[in-house]
Amino acid sequence: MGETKTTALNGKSVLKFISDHAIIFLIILLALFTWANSQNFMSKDNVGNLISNVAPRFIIACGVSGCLITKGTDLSAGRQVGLAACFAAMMQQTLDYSARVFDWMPDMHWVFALLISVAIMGCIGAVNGCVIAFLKVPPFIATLGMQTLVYGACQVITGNQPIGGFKQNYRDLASGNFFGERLLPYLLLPALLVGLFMWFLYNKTRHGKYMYAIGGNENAAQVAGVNVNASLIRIYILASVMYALAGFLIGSKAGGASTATGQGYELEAIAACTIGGVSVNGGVGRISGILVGVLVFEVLKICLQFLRFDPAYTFIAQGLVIIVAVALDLRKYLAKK
Amino acid sequence: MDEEKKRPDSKDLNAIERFYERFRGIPLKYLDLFIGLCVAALVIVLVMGMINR
Amino acid sequence: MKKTLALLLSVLMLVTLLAACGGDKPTDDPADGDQQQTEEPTTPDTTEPTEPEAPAAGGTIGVCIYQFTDAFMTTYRNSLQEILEGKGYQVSTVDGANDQAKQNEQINSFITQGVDALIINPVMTSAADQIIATVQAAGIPTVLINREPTAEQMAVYDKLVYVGCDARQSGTMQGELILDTPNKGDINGDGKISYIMVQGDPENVDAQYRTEFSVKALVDAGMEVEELNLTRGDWMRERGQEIVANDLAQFGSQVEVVFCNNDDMAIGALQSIQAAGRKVNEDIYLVGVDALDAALNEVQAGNMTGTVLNDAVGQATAAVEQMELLLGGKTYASGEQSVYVDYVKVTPDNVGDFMK
Repeated sequence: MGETKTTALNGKSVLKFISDHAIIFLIILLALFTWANSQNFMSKDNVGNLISNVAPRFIIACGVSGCLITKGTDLSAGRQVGLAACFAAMMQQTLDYSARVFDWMPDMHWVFALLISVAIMGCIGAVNGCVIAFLKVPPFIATLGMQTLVYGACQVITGNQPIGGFKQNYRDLASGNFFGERLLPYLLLPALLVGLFMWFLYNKTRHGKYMYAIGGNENAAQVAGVNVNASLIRIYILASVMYALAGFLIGSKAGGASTATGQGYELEAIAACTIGGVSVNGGVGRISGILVGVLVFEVLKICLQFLRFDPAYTFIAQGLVIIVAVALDLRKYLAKK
Repeated sequence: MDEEKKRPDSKDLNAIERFYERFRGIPLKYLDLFIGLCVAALVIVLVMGMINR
Repeated sequence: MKKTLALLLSVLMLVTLLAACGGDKPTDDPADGDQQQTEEPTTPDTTEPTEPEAPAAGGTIGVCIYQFTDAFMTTYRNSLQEILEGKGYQVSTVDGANDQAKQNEQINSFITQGVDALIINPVMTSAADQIIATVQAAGIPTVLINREPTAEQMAVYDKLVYVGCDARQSGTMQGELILDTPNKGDINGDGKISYIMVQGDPENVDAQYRTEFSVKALVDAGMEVEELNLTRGDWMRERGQEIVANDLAQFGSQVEVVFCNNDDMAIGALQSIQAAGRKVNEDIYLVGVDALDAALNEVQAGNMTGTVLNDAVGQATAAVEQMELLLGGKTYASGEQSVYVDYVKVTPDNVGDFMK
């Protein structure tokens, strides 16, 4: 214990802060640079767009965070989002659309479509949770299997036909704004509610405490009387509920859904969580961090489009961001033990 | 007190931690170097992308 | 070492910050012909005589492609970029990565950036309503390319036009290529043409029409046809190879004609055909669509019966032409919003014309 505690705001602690959050600072710099070099970057439209882009991804990341905090993962996230989008889509087609999937379905308010999607996806989450908790299958394998299963199910259910022809009020959910104010898109509300709910859940409830305990040391938590299995199942069900909500919103955003929807979204969600401080160390992770992580990716994407980057560079840049995030996480892990 | 110093058994760790443990032997400074290089690469990619647009 | 790292990081960030203050990038790289660095180029070189008024000098155009890895769209977008930059526009092209939600976000971003016009290649035509609604709300002139939405979908917005090919024609031409062969596709002389169909992705009208009209051309000419198998290949070469390998293993010499909805899949199919010891134009016929360079080579070498030129350059030219008309203030009545460019049959006789 020879190191001096640097609580004072001296150069050393500032440098440490910057290097711990290197990615975030880089993105801030990139944003400033983009602001200086293009028009309309700081316009209401752009900020509104940013909020709309962040909202569903934030919801997905919140869902995955529970899995990550308990030292698990959920690779089926993206495909579940896709399946949920397809379900919602199938229930929200206009009555006179020629290629309606459920011809027998009467006009259904989107609330019901959402609830039904959530219920179905919740069951999938329960399966994930049970397989991981009771069968003790490593989450990586279990959710990887679920990913393929869900993709197959989606293909069977949709017959590989893309689903379109949505009702106007379903489509408006993702493109409208409160009071016509561009800075308050409708999408802001679900994201806000999810954020508050998750924050409350993680910080003020027993479930939250159990979750962090399991993440910190599963055996110790078990010995201390935590019902680990029940907690894990709850976490995976909650994750799937989040995916259902996000899928519903993304279906609205895209104006269509197909088996390709949601593909790969789990990668970004997990990366965003990692950037935001939810680490493999387990037992740590804050909602504010997750929001920051998602913002990093979305701001990066918008900046690169504003700067008219060749899309190939976009992939390379995003990949590098992910690598640095993982490397920093690795560093924290090794430094801690 | 000895138990704190002992490395965790592999059965306590999940897949990602097992992966991380492989880097246990490498001094931290090389990891720092790697991170620095990746960040530098990121900056270079961003700059190149801007010049080549 | 950690301090050195932190120092390195700070220096890098300082450099970036200084670069940010530097403003627009100077043109210090060697003259690269068609690279547009400045915001205000000189007046456009060519003015269409039919334009109501020439568009303001320069202008920014946003181009949304459904997926950059698509071989045909790569030729198309390179063509678009060349033509637009040659006329003095600033072009920005983005990759939808086959994700409609992502493409919509990109469209929103372009609108926010304030581009003058959009050229969009939709990821899902069934989701075109959302795209059209978005551009209509922004009042921005838009040209849809390559994937055609329905006339009703387009009717809601008058500053919208579709430029593409009539996919039925490409299918019909494929059929004609087979009819033009010495034995009209019936190699084994049993009175019917036995074929396997390798399809694109069924949502795409191109795939649907090519599948339907290639066979229809044969039937309309009085031939009897037998479909041995129809499999979805998603426009991908690897899938073409797998599917045809499977079909040849299953049906062997029964297969007389291999129809592929595009050249990429046809080239994959060729691998399997050769691996099975068959020889194209002797005991089997193979046709594709797109006239990709690789396919042209094969047609010339006698390894493909023919292909159909999906005129990327012609379509890109037409797209830019329509875009300039839109910028000049033209509007389109419903029912008149589709502009078609012709396909061209490519056979060993004329293949030399298309090779560079």
